[in-house]
Amino acid sequence: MRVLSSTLPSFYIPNRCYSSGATRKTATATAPRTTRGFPKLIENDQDVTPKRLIDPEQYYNKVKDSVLTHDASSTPSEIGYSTVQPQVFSATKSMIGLSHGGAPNSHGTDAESFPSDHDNDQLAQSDAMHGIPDEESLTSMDGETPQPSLTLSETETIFILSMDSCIVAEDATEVETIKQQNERYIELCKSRQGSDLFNERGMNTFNSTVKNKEIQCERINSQSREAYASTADMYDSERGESKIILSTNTHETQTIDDGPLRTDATRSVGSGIDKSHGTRLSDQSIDETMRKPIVAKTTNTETELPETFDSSKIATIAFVMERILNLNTNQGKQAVYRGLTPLDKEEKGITYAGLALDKLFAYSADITSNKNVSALTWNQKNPDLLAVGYGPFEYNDQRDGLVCCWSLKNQDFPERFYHTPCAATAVAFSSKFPSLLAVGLFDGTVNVYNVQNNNDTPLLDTEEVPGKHTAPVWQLCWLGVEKSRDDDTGEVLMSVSTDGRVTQWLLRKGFESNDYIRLKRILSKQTIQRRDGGKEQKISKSENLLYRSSGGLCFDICPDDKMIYLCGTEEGLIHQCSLGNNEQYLDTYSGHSGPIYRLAWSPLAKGVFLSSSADWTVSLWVVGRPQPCITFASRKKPVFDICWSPKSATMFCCANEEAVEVWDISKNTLEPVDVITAGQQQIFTSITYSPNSECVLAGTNIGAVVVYNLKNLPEPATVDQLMEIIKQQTQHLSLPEDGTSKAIANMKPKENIPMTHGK
Amino acid sequence: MSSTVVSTQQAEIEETMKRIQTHKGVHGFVVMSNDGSFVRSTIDNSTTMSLTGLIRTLSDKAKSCVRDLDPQNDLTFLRIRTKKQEILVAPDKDYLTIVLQANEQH
Repeated sequence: MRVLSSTLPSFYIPNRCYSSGATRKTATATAPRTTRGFPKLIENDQDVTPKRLIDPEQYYNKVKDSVLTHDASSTPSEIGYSTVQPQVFSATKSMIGLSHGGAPNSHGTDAESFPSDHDNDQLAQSDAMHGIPDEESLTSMDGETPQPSLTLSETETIFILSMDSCIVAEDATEVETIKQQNERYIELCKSRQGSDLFNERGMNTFNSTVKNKEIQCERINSQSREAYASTADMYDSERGESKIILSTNTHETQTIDDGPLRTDATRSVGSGIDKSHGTRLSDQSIDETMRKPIVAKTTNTETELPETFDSSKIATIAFVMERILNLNTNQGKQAVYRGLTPLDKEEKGITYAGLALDKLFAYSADITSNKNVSALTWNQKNPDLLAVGYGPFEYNDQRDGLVCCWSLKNQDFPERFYHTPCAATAVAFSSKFPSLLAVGLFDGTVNVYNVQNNNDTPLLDTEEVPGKHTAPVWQLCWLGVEKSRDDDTGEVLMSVSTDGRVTQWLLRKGFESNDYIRLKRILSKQTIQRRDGGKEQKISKSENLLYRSSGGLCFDICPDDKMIYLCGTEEGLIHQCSLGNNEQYLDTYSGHSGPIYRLAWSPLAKGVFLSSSADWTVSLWVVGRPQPCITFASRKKPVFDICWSPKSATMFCCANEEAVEVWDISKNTLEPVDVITAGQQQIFTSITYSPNSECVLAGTNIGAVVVYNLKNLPEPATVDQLMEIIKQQTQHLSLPEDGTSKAIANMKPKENIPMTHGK
Repeated sequence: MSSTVVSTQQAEIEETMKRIQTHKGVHGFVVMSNDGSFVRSTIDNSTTMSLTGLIRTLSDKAKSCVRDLDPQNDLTFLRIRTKKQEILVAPDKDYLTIVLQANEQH
């Protein structure tokens, strides 16, 4: 038997019934039309019922005719193609009909049932389900009027005839009859050929016409996106700062147009990141070994460049760049300063035989030109930071003063500069708060600056303080003390001035001052007789009456015993005093005939100190001896400053007006070991050793601080050597050693003491 | 108050930049922003354009290299020493500074 079947899905429409057979053709042809209570849609008094996509009547008639005259040999598909005009569209409210345009035709035939394994003798002829377009247009109208809900689903399989095979076990009871039936059936099949009982006939189903429909949508663009996540990006995204975005225009073009080279991808991603956010992947600021200037703002102005370019944004870069440039130009010098071998091996041509001073560079800038360097001091915490005070020594040449902080890394411009109203005469860095810099001025004011910023206004000053000095402050020193109150900082400032007071300044809310001592001008008999030979006592008395106090010019605190300090005065006396005793001197050393400019305790030897004076000499003293042990004189110029070598007990440097001299007591007490003479225009006014380098820094009066490197230093001498030498020297002086006497008027046997002068 | 602070700071930075430009051996000084346009330049336009483009690429590559090795690290400075000169590159959040300095002939 030939099996004809169709497998079209069936649509369930309520209230429909189908009967098989040819009767269906007409019945169903009419049935949908008559029973189609198709709701009419009235809106705004207009009939807006959707029109059918295909005029069903036309189709039905044609189909009917063709089927009735159907012949097994013709294919209904031809008929279908010739008759169906699918383009009977009327505008409907919904254009979904377009997409269903093919549907009517595909639903042109419909099968009720299908599939069972067994045959259907008669196929259920299907008719066009013309209701369906209507139904679909019905559903397409949802939203306008509530329509009865329609469910389209596959109907159950309707079995018209079902003859199932069954399997019977061999030992069943009916086996025999079944076998006979089977045999009979087989014989029947065989005899079918020529028998009259059977007539062969062909059947065919309609093949629906096929219509092609095309639609066109907007072009679907595809773009490839890629992002390369590096380790850094993963780290950033973990921290929530991920900047990977793929949505920048530039980025798109790059990924599309460029080849997929990894470097390109990196670049595009990298630059895409930067461009999109204008920020870098990391928000860590540039590490600086130096103190940083104020951090730049990050307002991103990209529009008009020259006008709105805020150069503070590149503050850090500019800072670093300048230093790098300096490094490039001055690498050799800086390396020598640090004690490293410079990169260039070429010898300069000057070889130094013995100890020598070799000029490295000079800290000098435009703002410091022609200013007299009056004070030098190093920072306690950062040994590369040097504070320099500028200001003339003389009274009649007063101008604005300046204080600069220089760093090794930049020789051409100071890190900080503060303008002061009058000359700066003393500077000192605090040890407890390393960013505090105290500056003493010519008019007696003491200012305290915070070097973390470049603000000209001092943090504190003694302008209004009642205990203010009335004369230039010549030396300042920070002392650590016990806190007497809770709001004490643990540190006090000590100053000496020409008004004859050694004062202690407490930094509480403002400055509070206490006097350590008032320098009284005393002339001990000893002094008188030594100096003037025969002056009477009464003159000294009258002097006492007239000038009670003598101006202090310098002081130094004993490194071994913080309570003891020395103070040098204008008349050439050195007083040993105690911090606790503000009435009396412990001891007095006389030997100089001019004002004492600088006092310095030896950092290595106990009880030994140097003094430099305007009487062209530098003297070495031992505590307890009222006379100098050794006197050094080499030029006929006042010695402004001296400095002990921190390493060698017998070496020190002094700054004459016209030269910088290095003395080594162990070699020669008559002459300096090395001398640098100043040029025509400049005089040296101050000197200091560098704490972390074999260099000596000398300040001049034209505003430059010159750095000299000490070459060929000998072995550092020990303290013992120094004491040895002192002993030798003092044996010339037949004074008994008396190291413990501390009385003021120390009556020692006087003798003619030949001074060990050089010249 | 902040505006005056900014302006003094700006003045200082301007001075610093001037000092950089007049430093010994410096041939050129360029500041460019992140979008590739340059803000300050002391060399001619065409050279600046090519320089900025190329250096930007290199600097980004170096930066990503440093950060890939250790994400907590970052590039602070880049120096390229060539036969004729030395190129100093300082990257920053918003800007990139390039200085060309002649090699020191000792």
